[in-house]
Amino acid sequence: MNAPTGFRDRLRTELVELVEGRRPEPAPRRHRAWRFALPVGVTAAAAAAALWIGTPHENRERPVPTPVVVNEVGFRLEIEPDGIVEVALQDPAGAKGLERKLNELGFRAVVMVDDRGCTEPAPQIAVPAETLLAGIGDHGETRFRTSVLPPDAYLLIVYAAEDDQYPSDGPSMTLIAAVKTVPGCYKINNPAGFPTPR
Amino acid sequence: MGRDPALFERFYEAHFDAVLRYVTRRCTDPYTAADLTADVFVAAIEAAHTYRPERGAPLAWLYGIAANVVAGHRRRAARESVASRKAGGRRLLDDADIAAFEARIDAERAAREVLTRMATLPDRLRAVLELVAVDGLTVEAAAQVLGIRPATARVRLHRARKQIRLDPSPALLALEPRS
Repeated sequence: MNAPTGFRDRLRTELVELVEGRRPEPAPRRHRAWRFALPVGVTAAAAAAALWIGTPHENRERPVPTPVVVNEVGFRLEIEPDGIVEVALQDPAGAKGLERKLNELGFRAVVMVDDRGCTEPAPQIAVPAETLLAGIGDHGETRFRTSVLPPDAYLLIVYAAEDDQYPSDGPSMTLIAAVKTVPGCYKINNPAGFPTPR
Repeated sequence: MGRDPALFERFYEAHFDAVLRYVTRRCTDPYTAADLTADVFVAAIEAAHTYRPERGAPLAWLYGIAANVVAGHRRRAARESVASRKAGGRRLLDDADIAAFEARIDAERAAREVLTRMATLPDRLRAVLELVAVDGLTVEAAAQVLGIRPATARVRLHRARKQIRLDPSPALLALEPRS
């Protein structure tokens, strides 16, 4: 089989250099009191928020240091260099993982599955969907702007099954909204069309 | 792997051919193929912390990354992180490499034809069939790549093959399992 051996060797060299540059530096010794200043999760989330989101209410796409690509069971998440986030929630089993990952990256996010029995009123919208959404990817991914998320809002993502008989067989849609409060459940009122939460 | 050069080197050696095969089945230009090959490994380095051994083989995880990189290329979205610019694949090619890439691309012509014909299938059905019938993954590995459960992958594979039976295209019929 023909092999581009020169290319393979040169690429290996460059990639190994790249990995070398990512070696973690020894952590500086910190005063013991720091360890108890904040719960670990809060510290990590706050640091990530500063890194990824930047100053609230800036009306522009904020750069992120590098693209982030996360492939885990049931979902895919990509943060592009221009701050656009692309989410594909393919299976309800991925909802909690996606929620956890978004929060790890500094987003106040809640991911839930459409609950047809939910009677709770829909939460108040903080940012209209048309402002938040940056389009739909080629494979149905939901794309949204991180730059318009207010710091006190929650990113709400709701998975609605394409086929009630096959709830894991892909979504008919993924609702996305920035809301002011976290609902206990969510019922998409217009499952046949583009959702417009109240 | 993303922070351990020796570990990465072993990973790279073990998977370079698989990535090259995946990429050359999906593009016809050696320069693009070189860029995509480099981009897949850069993305793997950046996403190394997301790999969970208990969820399956690294190849399936890597194919998931490759699928994203190729999809990103297709929609021409900017993917120029500092890292990917550094490893931009095409500038590492010499004449012998270009010839080797062209030979690989030529050898994968039949697979590309099948992939093209599969484009008529709905995305979520095509994706499973593509990984199983063209890339040779097991249903379980394909499920891992796509982030779905194996049972879901089996249902989709069944539906994809059922749709193929309605399409008399010889290239697609060749994907039918032999009974």
